Amino acid sequence: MKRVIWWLIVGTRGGVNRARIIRALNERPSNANQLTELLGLDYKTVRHHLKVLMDNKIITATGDRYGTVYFLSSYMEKDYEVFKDHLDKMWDKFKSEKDIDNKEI
Amino acid sequence: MKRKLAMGLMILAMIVIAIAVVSAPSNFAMQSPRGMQEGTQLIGGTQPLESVRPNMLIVNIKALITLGNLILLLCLLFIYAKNYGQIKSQFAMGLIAFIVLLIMQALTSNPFVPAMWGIHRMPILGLFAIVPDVFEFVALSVLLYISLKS
Repeated sequence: MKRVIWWLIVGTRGGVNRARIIRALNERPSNANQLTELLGLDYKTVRHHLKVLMDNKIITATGDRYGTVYFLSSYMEKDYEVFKDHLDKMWDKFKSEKDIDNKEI
Repeated sequence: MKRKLAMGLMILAMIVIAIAVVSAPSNFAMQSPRGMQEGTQLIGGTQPLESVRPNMLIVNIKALITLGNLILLLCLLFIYAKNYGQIKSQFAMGLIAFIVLLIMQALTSNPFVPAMWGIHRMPILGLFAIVPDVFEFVALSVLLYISLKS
């Protein structure tokens, strides 16, 4: 499982944005719209990343259509500590680059 | 989609193996040391040692495929290096090391690289000189595809 997560984060083109989504969902379960706003990404991009993460059982969802809330799966929560340092560092860098302190999550 | 890709790969592998098997007896006979020394009648024709030269068509195809491999590897390196810039994990570093080593392999397997050092006598392997590179090309294409898609 850890290898799948590493691969989806550093082995693919959209991996860094995916890592940001995982980091954000660990803080607070959100829907696609909230993530779009927080990360400053395209809505379709976020949906794509969420689908890939769901397909790989890294996140799960509850609710239907626009109200769907995503959160980390039990697999991901179990292994989160392994990724925590890397994700936090990446998030700090992202925050300083985008200057999104006011959107603290 | 996944089934189509797997089917395509299997068909390609079968075609390559079929071509290799069909062409194998003549290549094998041409390279038989005994046959070459004596210049006797072989399955592939009379071939004294001096006239056995690498087939330039195969050398050129090999050069082209290894160049293709190099391009695919550079694309992969670009993706992994960009991610490493954001997340400096051991996994990311390992991926970069893996790709850099494969780039060295792709560079050194290009037949024009030994030629620069004056080594022109490429082993006369016939199609077997390019089959490994073809498989490497397909393998790298799959890796690049999944790296771009997901």
